Amino acid sequence: MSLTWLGLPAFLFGLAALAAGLYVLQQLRVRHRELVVPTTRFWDEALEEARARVLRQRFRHPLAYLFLLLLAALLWLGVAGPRLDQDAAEDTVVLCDASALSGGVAGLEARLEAAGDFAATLPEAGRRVLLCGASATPLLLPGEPVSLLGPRLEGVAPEVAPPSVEAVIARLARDRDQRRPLRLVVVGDTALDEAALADLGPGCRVERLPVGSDATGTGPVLVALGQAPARDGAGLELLAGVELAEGMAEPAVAARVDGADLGAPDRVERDGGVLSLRWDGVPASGGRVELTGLPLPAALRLADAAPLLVAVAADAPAACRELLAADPGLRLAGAGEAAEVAVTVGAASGLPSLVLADAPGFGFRVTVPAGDRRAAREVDAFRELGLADIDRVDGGEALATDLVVTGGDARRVEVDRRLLSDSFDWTRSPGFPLFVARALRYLADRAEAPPYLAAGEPLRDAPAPLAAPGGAVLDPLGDAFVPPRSGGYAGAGGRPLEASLQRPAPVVAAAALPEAEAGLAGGAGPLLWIPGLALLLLLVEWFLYRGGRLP
Amino acid sequence: MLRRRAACSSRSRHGPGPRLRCALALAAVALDQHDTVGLFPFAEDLRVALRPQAGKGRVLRFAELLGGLEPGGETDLARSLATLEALRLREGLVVVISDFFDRGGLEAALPALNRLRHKLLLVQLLRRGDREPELQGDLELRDCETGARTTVSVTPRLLDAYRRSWQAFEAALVGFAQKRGAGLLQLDADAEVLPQLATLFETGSYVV
Repeated sequence: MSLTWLGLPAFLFGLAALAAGLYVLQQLRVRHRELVVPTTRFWDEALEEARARVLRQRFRHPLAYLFLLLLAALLWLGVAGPRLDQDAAEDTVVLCDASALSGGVAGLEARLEAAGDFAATLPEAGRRVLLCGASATPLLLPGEPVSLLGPRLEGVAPEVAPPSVEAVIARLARDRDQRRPLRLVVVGDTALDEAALADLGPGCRVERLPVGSDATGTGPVLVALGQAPARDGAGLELLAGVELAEGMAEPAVAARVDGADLGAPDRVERDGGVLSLRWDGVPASGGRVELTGLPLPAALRLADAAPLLVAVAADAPAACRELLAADPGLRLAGAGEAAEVAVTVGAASGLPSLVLADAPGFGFRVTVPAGDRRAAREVDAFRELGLADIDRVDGGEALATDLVVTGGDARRVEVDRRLLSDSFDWTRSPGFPLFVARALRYLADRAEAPPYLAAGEPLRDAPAPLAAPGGAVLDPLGDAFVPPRSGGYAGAGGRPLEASLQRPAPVVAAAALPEAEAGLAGGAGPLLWIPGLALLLLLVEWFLYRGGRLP
Repeated sequence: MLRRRAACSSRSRHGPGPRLRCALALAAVALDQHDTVGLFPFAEDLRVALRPQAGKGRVLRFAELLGGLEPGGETDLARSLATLEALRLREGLVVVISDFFDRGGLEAALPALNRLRHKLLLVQLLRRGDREPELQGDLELRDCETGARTTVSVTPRLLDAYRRSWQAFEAALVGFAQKRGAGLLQLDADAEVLPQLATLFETGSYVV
């Protein structure tokens, strides 16, 4: 048995204080009945004889004291909140899906209530309850009473994140104590991948705790949201897919870009339970598009097709200017326009610059800022250009054409300007415009907006680290970035990303899982028999009092 | 000699006082035998209520005097006996009717009794509770004569000590009677005195 509200030292200290207090009260207990007798002589002599045989005053009525102490100890035990803990032969984790895709608020409430009732039947030791949202939030840890669940559930709402029960199961199975069996109880109807459950290993089993109807109430669910270049080359196409339950009315979905209304879709098709929507002529402005008319947020960051504004030094070779005119993604910055990058001669300007350097001692040098992992990956694009194969015209000076990569505080590209001279055929090769285009785009650090981004799905080459909704900083450390929930993410390059909550692709669902059986713990426990025992003590004391054994 | 008990609540169920009945009965027997009988009540001291006189007709006078006795103060048997001795009465039988719960204890009373020239008959009036007190719990006992108070918590151990004290008292009184050749008569004050006296005269059974 353990105590809920008091530690063992505090309980024992309180018990000792009660015993001492009752002892003092018992000693002071004076309830003398007056009686007239013929003589007190013999009583005086008897008292004198009794006093002569003890060292101190006799403790009166130890039996009455014992009864009082037992009663007080029982009350004190009740205050301490005793509970019977059964030994847990295995670790049990109750998993509650918190995704907004799984029945919304009503669904989550039903699952949480079922989880709490089930957890109350399990031994406290080895019992855990986890809320599976964007992350696994512990609601009850081993050893904690189920009474803590209520306060912790206040304010809990469905998360705009995909179901993560499967991922949590995999992590728990991987990190578990191999000496103890692990029982995982999934609350509700969350679909689980058969392949994922097959890899859990021995000593680990998954069960399901059915809940009445936890999956209803979600409404139309977004299953796809993406963008593609328009077929006519003008702007972008915005595509969305919405899943409708049987009998559900088609929602009136519209789109807005940075607050400007795009209106209803230009094309709507229905195939079974999925509604396909398309908007044409969406400007490739890099803005944020959001869909209205759906219960859950749906947004996407549009690609930015605006030409890169370039400032070119007056003494730069004419080939550079000609190249800008030919590349639709580049444009020479006019008077009064703020250039984003620059082509300079001799030294860099205040902008990220392609520097045509004088005898720098290298052919090409790319500066990668410290910590800019995406920049490091983009450097590979320069190596593909065959810069080492630049030919020298007969009689021309032999120059280095190697590519040097160095670290620095900002992105920079440097070229030995002599390579642009007539002594080399580089400016006449296809590699030159490619090099300049890539160099200027590298300098601009324009991350391409992904065609789609769904919470829970990976994105490669994300501008890490990113600031998540709420301010947390996420860094996949070179791995693909997986947005944990829908919302805006600010990239390191200043280009924001937008993730929407989409229903994950269907998986091969695991076969029907065994139904979880409730445990035997719970009940009133000691708090039921303590009052009964106290009443029994009072009854015994009454009988003893009536029999004259107690004062 | 008749002890005039100090004002106490009588626990006897049998009338004004077993002592008075006992005294009257013994006086009636003696007067019927043409003996002279005197009445000397005592408490803190002894006084002469009736000098020894004979005649059957004196019984009523005796009864009248007994009925008029008032409760006295604390018992001082030694002093009362000294006063009796000073009266220099003709040798006879002195019947001392008392519970012998003297403030000076038997240590003071027995030597005084021993100094008397007379034959002695000690009539001890007792209650059942004197020898075997049926008391329980926490009590404040008040001596009905002295007013002294004693607080006790009655326990088996204390009762054993009380019994030892009582037995010592009784042994001392019996021992004195045996040694002195005096008669010792113990009467139950809670029961009718006359039947007990009748048993005495019929069977001759008494303590000593």
